[in-house]
Amino acid sequence: MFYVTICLLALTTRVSSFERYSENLDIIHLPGNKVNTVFSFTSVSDNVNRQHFDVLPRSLVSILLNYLVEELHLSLTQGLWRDNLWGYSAHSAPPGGQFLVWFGGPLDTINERWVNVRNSISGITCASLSALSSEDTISPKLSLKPVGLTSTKGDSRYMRYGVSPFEVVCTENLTPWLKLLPCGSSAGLASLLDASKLYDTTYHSLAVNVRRVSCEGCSGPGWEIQLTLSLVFSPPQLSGRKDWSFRTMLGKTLVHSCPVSSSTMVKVRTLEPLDALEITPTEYEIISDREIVYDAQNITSFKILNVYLRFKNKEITRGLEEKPALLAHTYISRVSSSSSGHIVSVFTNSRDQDIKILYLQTIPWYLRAYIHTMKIEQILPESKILQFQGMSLTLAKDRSHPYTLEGILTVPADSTIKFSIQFDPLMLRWNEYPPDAHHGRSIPSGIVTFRDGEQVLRLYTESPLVYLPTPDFSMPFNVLCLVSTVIAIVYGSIFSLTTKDLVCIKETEVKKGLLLQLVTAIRGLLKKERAVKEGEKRETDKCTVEEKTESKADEVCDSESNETVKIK
Amino acid sequence: MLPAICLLLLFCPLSAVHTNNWVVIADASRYWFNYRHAANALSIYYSVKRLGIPDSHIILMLSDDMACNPRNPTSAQVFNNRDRHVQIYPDDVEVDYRDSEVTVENFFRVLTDRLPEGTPSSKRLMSDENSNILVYLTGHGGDGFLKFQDTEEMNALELSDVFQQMHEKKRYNELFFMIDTCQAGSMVLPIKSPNIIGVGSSTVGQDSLSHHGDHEIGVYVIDRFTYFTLDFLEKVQPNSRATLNDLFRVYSTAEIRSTPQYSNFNLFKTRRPGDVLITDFFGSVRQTVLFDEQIAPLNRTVLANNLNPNEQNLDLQLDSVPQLPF
Repeated sequence: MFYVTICLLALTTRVSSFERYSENLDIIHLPGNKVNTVFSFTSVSDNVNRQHFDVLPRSLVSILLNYLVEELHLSLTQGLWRDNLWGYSAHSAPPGGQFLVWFGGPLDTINERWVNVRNSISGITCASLSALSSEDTISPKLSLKPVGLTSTKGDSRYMRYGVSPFEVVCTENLTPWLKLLPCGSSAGLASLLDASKLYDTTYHSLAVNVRRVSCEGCSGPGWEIQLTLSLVFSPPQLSGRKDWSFRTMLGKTLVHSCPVSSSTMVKVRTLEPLDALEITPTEYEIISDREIVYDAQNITSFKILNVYLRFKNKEITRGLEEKPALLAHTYISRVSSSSSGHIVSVFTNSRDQDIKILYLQTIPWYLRAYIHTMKIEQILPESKILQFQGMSLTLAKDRSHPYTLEGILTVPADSTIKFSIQFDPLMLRWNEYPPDAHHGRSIPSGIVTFRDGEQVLRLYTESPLVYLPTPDFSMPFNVLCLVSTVIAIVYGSIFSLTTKDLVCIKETEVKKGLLLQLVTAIRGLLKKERAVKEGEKRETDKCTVEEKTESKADEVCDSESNETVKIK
Repeated sequence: MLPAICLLLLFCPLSAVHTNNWVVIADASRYWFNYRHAANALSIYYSVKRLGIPDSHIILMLSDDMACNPRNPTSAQVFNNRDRHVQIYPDDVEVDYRDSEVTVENFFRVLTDRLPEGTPSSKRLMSDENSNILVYLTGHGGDGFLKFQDTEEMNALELSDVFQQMHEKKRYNELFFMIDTCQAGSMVLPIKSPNIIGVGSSTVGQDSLSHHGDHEIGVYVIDRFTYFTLDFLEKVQPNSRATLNDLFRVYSTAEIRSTPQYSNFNLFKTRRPGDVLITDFFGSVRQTVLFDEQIAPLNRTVLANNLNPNEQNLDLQLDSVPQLPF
């Protein structure tokens, strides 16, 4: 025991000097009997230019330093956060993968550094970010400003943003993410994570957020690395009842808290007042009538923590008490996969005052958007044409970059606004289609930024699927084979005709094989013999006609000799 | 005397001279109904990990996400047997190439290490002339090709060329190539590079069949050839003396319902399959060298200065900026 205390003391003293690490678990009840579980692991340090780190993930820090990164946000999300049902999320993210980097340092090397950061981060998170090409990368001028301290003054040339709506999220992403934590998955709140429970949820979003902060007790601007995991569970699907516990929801209980963590807090926020439910264990502090907090570090020192909520009221709360101020949705309005369509975004303001929003929409280059068809109109309560109060537009370039459209809009009180733009799908080159081409392609979700009271909120809309006209993939292959064969035949013969030189070669120069030489020699001999005999014959013919019988006998002999030649 | 020793060395079965092990596993099939191919690949992944090859030395390529597929009733889990006693998608799984990243081009680039600059080391096959490499492929194939992602084909001759390149670039000491696909023999036969043993699940003209299905998952969960390979590997321990011949003996035509096709064993110059331990390819060599003297620690200050010369620039005038332009 004494030894353990000394170890712990040594650890805590080492940590408190320059690095701080804390763990938080927020369990928030959502309407419709959903439970939002948010794990966040935060490390802060004032100086990262070191060889040794106690709690900061070295693999990540070396990437940040190598490529002069000031801010980095990565999220891998499956499912859609439903603002209209659940209210706003503090950890909102678009479906699929999202990667945002703010760079410091010189401007001219940013493209190169972006590629390297993407590759390195995809290596340490097992995400297919390397598939994010320039086709999916944008640098919006007005949106997505750095949330931490920056030397760039928010100049968009220093940032790169890429989205891949098709990114799959699974265990292989969780594993390396857990490795970035000082205690890994062996102790602390991360030990509650079990892949088979985690990926059986309605929504899950894994994130890595790095920013520069001015921290308390730091000598200069510090670094904050926050890893978050937001999940939405549906307890009735798990246990058949509204009650839940760590064991039923996560499949595990908290046995050890991470010894290097300065605090480990478990917060529970319910929709019903606390007296309407029974909570165990009882070692909690009450924050408000609907919120309690556990100091998990204290509790786990003497027992296992398994938070258990039993509801006296079996009724399921539906609907939010207060409607969210602003809701945004994006959809595609279209007839068939080859016809033109509209990208439509709808914004609904349910407050009694105007809300000014900043809207960002990325449209891939293969959807040819017609800027002149862009239309903003108020559809409810009355129909009225509106205008952007400011906008920034970057046109797409084929196979290079997408359209980036940003606009400032005022959504009038209690009204709905519709933004639409017409597009024509392009026919891609046959090898540019993804493997599952008939599935269609998702366009990046729209991002809406607005001020709600003091805080600035960011909403992500749906990323709708667009069907692209797809060719018959076996056809180009066949055509290619056929055409290549024809070209090979035509080209081959023309090539040989035009490049071959016809030269006469003397017979004597031709080298003959041994057998051929023998045959020619014999043939030559025979020819000679025959020529001699014929000469003789002619002579005898000339001389006398009486010796015919003899010559006949000669002929027989000849034929014999001929036969012997044949036999040879 | 010396020539006698040389001769003796020449004729004695040489013990393994490799110093490191690498594994490349690729499942080339997309779509849920090809679950068994992902399970085949993951079974081999599971075995090599169990026998001690670390994730950093395994390149795993999966064409589709089966574990977190919405159709999978057991989320984040993959099973290769209806008994479900082994979950082959472990919590520490590392998939290096997935979904549309699994292409013939990427596969060849990994083998020949012609990858774009900045590719993370986890996605690279960093083998050398002392490496023993296991290459395992599974998917749908035909006479002379293996289909990738249902859109492109890997030609058998291309593959044998790539192996030849690997040989010329001194990227392996010995290579064991396994392929489980229909007409797999056609992928094995063109291989002409030295020190490669290849085995395909079936000869040209034969189909490779699946072993059994799981009614709850709703699809076939493993192929016959891999099933019997795995059955054999399950009995192998890191210190096992089992050889490749023992493995080849389990491939009975009656059980796998196809005739396995081997490459020309004469290619394998130094040893006979009976001398090659299973763990030379499926296990990992971890030689520990003990030093008596203390090793001097690296000079920290030098490294810290080299770490990032531009670090001081980062701390210049950091301000917060407004989130909205209005």
